[in-house]
Amino acid sequence: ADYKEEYKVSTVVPAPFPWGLAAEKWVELVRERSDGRINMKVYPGAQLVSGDQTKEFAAMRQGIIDMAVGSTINWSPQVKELNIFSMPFLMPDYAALDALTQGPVGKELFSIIEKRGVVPLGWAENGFRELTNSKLDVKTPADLNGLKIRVVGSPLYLDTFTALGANPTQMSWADAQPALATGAVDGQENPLSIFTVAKLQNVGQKHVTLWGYVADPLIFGVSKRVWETFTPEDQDLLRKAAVDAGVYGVEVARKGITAQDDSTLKDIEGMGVTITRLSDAERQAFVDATRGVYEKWAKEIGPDLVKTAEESVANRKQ
Amino acid sequence: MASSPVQDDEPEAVRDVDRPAVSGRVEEVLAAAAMAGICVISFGNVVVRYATNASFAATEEISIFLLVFMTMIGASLAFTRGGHIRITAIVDRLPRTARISVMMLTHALTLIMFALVAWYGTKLTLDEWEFGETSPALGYPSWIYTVWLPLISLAIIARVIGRARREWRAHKTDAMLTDPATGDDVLPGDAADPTGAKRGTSA
Amino acid sequence: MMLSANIILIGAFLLLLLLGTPIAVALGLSGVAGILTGLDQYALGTVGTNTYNSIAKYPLIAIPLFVLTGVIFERSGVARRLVEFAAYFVGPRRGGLAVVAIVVCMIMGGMAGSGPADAAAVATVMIPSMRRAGYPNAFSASVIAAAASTAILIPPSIALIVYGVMVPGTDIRALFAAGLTPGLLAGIFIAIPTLIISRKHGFGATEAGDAGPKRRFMDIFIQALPGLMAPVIILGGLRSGLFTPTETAVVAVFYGIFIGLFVYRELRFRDIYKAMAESAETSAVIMLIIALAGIFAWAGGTLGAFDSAANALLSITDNGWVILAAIMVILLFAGMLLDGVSIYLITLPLIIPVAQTYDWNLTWLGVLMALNIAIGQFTPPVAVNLIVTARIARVPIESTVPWVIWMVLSMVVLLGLMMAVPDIALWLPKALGYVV
Ligand code: NA
Ligand code: NA
Repeated sequence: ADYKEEYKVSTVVPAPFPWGLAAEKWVELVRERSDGRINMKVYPGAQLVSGDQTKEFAAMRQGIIDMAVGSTINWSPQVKELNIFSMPFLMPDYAALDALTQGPVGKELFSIIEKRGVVPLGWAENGFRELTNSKLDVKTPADLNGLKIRVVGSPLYLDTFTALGANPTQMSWADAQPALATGAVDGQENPLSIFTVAKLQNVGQKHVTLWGYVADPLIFGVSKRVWETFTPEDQDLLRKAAVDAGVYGVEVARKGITAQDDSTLKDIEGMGVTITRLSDAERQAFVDATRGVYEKWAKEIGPDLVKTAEESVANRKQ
Repeated sequence: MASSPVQDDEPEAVRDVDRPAVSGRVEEVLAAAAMAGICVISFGNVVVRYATNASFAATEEISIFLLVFMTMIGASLAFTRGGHIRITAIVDRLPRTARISVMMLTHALTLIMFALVAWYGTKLTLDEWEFGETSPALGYPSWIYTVWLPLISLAIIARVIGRARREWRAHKTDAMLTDPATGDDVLPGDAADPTGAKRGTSA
Repeated sequence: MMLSANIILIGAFLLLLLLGTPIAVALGLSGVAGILTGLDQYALGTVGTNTYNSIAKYPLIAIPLFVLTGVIFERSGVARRLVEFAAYFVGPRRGGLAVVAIVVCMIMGGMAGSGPADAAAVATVMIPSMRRAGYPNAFSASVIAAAASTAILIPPSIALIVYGVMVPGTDIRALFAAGLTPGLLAGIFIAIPTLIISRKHGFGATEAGDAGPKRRFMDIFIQALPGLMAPVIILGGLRSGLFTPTETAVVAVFYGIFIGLFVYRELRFRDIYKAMAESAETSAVIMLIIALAGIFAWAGGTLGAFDSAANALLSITDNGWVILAAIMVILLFAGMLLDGVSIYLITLPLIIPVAQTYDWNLTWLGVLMALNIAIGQFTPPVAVNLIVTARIARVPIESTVPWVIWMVLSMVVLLGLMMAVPDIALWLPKALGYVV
């Protein structure tokens, strides 16, 4: 077949973030298994879309980008159903997240994505998003009152933090770091891997609350236009490599921050940061406070899909 | 320095070249309004953040849109007045016929550029419209922001054609002019036009 | 195929540039040519997305705001009061007024984000009185054009904002702090040749007899105070963390409008409209370059042009200092032809990998590049500051060359000094506790 010299893979953060590691693994596996016939290269920092990660999906659909390992949050402007992972407190634990991505919800989402011009191949993980701030240990919704929190770009996040009484601010990650350092913004929410690699304790983020209110899975995707140029054997190869790279990506994303292995959490605490773990009752107070947002967005995303998700979570393997 | 492109001591033909059929006032008012909008929203953000506890967060999306709009509409105005930064050192030393030919060529190249922006900007807008893409902060349809890219590109195309026609006309009707201020030879449309220098500022 | 696409990318850009195509269009079209040669037609879709995304960035909002700040202060009558204030200290002496012009340019530079507004404000006020004192107009235009270039070193600085947005991991506030000392030194390095030339040719010899009525210091000081406060507010706002750079810019705009309308009363509402329209157009010219350079940068990045250029540079020698010097020479030549923003956009993608190889401090590198761009602003033939001052002085640009060349050389000496001693730039951001 007439293949390109190089297939461009877009990501947002590079290795050593788990996100970048997952993308690099995919590239490596494909190169090995195709004996170098299929050559891919990772372009981090969303540089293929001039830094605007929310345009990654559209650019892939148009064939400007060949492939991507992208965040469900960043693809949600084009695929609103992906907001399901941003529904506050839908997924209580990793088993629930796995039940969604590996169950009927994941299948349904993949078929929606494929209809929109991108072929999805597998799942990786950016992680559960945890709350950090410079002011106090957040244990109750009342603790959030008036805190200025930088959130990512989706209207659902603004709604959630507004419902909790916080003062959400949207800004690019580049602007967020100086804003945190000067106290123009009090806190932010991101997976812990971002906290540790970006050393947020150095910009005053001394209070971490493990509330796991939303998760941010990653999807390996290929532009449909590019996908159709591959032979069926190579399509299979790309898909299997993505699935395998995803397994590795999930593993590195969870390393050191689970109940079984909390070494990273210990390291963070060692740097003078307090980590607050919510009891079931404490967590329920946050669930109640965001219930209105949950119901409003369930309608936006699609009540059937949300119902399927709730069932998957309820029946998850523990 | 006055911002008006018309100064009393300019040769008549130079002034005509800066005088389009449809006044640049249209773009000027829109660009100034966008600038004022950016100022008001940014200042509002500061005031609201310090005076109250309320959130004014989503306005960033509007500010960014105003910046893009101002860029395109201001660029259109600058094309009307020949105010974009370019190197004229070589062109200025060419013989008269060669010079007007090169100037027309650069206008043609500019047309191609903005035809491409208009074409691919339209494709982008249609894509966003067809798939119901929404903006990250406010959840508005994305195409209401993007559509201005191809639309104003069309305006720029019209402005470049107008400028080329006026320069061509001046070339046909006037002999080489001399700028009284600098003693430079001035073919209408040169970067040497009086306020062009000021407009073509940069970091 | 990739190699020839790279050659087409660079070759088309140079050709279009020399033909006199607007720089923004030259960048965009050569990017298109590169994409068509090395990639496919679908990749051309980047002409839609990247044009939009390259300028749809929040930190870039500071650019039009700092352009507007410069124009507002130019119109509000600050420059004239600052001249009286500076003249009081310098006193009537040979070369005195020229030094006053330099000092005022530097103070105005603490309000404006780019050189030309600064140059226009000071040239309008100073050139007539310098002419009466015996300075040739070409010389005055040269001095003011050179001194106004300090505006992109002394914060706020549009050049440093663009650098901070383009280079991940740099803090715009740290860059601003790092630019202050080199900006003040640049003023001194321009004053030295200015004074030597003035003494040698007896410029300003008639100043002593032209002292005018003596005024009390306090009167002059109080008149100048609102203007002197502007840089304090801008620097203080940034330092204290009260405002982000964008917010600082807008606070400075409103302060300038307030001073012009109610304190000096030289600004009318109509002038505010004109200032907005004019700075919108000026900013649009800069921003269009950023927009269309996005296509060029995308093509260069995906074709691997920047990587191969960086590798070629690295293969010349292992000595980091030689490579740094080579980069500075390339930038000086680029500064003769290109504006500052274009220089950043074209050269940063290949300079940053080199900088990472040698572990150069990126804040220091940003200020070095800004100093280079400052020099370019008054080095003919494309010299935005000189175009403005020559126009106001009513002299051809060619006539400034014998004078301005000495200021260029003096600034190159400062550039060498800053290369050798990074702490000239870095001590202040370090002292303020920024990560550099
Ligand atoms: Na400045
Ligand atoms: Na120059």
